[in-house]
Amino acid sequence: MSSVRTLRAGILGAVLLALTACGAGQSAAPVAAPSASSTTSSSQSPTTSSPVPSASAEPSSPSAAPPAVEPPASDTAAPAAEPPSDLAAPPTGPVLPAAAPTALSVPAIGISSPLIELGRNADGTVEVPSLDDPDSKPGWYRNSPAPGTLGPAIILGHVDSREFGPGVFYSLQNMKAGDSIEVSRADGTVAEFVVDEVESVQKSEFPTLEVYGNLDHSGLRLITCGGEFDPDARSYESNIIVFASLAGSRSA
Amino acid sequence: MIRKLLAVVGASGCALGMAMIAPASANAADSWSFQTALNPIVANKVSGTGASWITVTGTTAEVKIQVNGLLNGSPHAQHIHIDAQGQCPTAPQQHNGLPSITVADGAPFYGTIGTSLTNDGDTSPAAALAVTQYPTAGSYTYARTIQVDPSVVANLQKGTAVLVVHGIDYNGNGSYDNVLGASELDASLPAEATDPALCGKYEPMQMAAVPDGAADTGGGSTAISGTGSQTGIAIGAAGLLAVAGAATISARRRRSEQD
Repeated sequence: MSSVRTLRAGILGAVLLALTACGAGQSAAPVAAPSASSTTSSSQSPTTSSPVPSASAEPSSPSAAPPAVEPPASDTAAPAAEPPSDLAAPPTGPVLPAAAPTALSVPAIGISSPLIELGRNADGTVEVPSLDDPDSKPGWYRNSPAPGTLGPAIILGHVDSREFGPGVFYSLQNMKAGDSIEVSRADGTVAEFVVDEVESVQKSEFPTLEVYGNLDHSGLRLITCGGEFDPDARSYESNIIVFASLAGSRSA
Repeated sequence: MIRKLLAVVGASGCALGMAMIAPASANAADSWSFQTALNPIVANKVSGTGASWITVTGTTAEVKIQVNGLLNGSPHAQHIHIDAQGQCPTAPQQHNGLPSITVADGAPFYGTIGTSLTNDGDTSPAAALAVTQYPTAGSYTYARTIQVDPSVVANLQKGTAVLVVHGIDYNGNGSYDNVLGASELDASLPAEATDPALCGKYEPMQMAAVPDGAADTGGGSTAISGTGSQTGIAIGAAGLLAVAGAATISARRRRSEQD
């Protein structure tokens, strides 16, 4: 009994630290200076091999391959000016036309919530939902592709609030490969994603291109915080990231 | 929504600060991003790698570069090259009797310098060889927000902007020397100091504006640690109980997963 309690206490401590994610304000993000900042640091930065799918595809290769799916309907996030030069490789999975996401459902961890929209803060960091709302909603980062279109759609939610306990993504780290994620969209369709993997990463080594880089399919990333909470910075030291791919769609 | 956020920030007097007060400056309509994988110039006996991404808003460019595995302790000039084929060179020429690729050899492929990615100060082509202004580590991360010439933006959009990181150690002796002769750009420099080491063409990103760094997706109210209370994070007694309960459940669940 006592050993159980001890064990639980130990786990409790560990889990409390490990489960919750990110903090307010001065995050661990090293580059917070707003304007002409320059930081150059020596580090064993992660070998970020870019996930550019067509890196090896020379202009000659996409010959007679029929466009299996309709091309990435230029959604709100696509640079309107010029078509992608070499990114002509057809998507490897289903791709939906652009439509704004309206709600998120993650049965495995009991999430069913409307979505808000998030932008980018003046310092370049991603806007997050309110940390002081006990009923804080997850949000779609509007500068990312709409869920269901080609590329990495980004949805962020809090692991906890400042004062009100667990947030909507409190249990995100319990997700597993194969779990389903559904995003309802303004066009009346539901984009059905399947989880590929769940990662916990140090914020100081945030794998930018792995999370935000180009994809050859329609992807989704759910992001929250994890790791230890730094009370001085009021920030968690890690991010929990769920990587998922579009498997199909249906009418709502 | 914004008003609510502001009210909350004001009430809590808390650290979200500037970030929340000026939310969402960039949006899909006025920003776009580009990424590249940096590959080694193999002919120059480079084995390093890297990656870069840029978010452009108008002519403001937020440049991020990650480099690994170059010669340590020696300056690595880095430039965005423009106005050519948007390609990286692969075919070596003979220099000092050795097959290698100089900046001039690469120019027909990646073009002339559009931007010098210095640590400080001038970023124009004039700073191309300001060797004291570039990173000197073998592995580094570079982040700088600069103004770029409209032609650089145009080349990024056209797919003809190429990032080149310079500085090689052809003979593997740990420093720049004249094994390949003098630099064709500046005879006072060894060719090893200016020959291209890593190269990558920028591609448009599906993401309009890449966020800077990690996401601040937690407030800490479930992070009960010994230090939490010292810093005066306000957690009501009721909240504490609720949080403790939830955490215990999670602990059990986690344990059962491990078992």
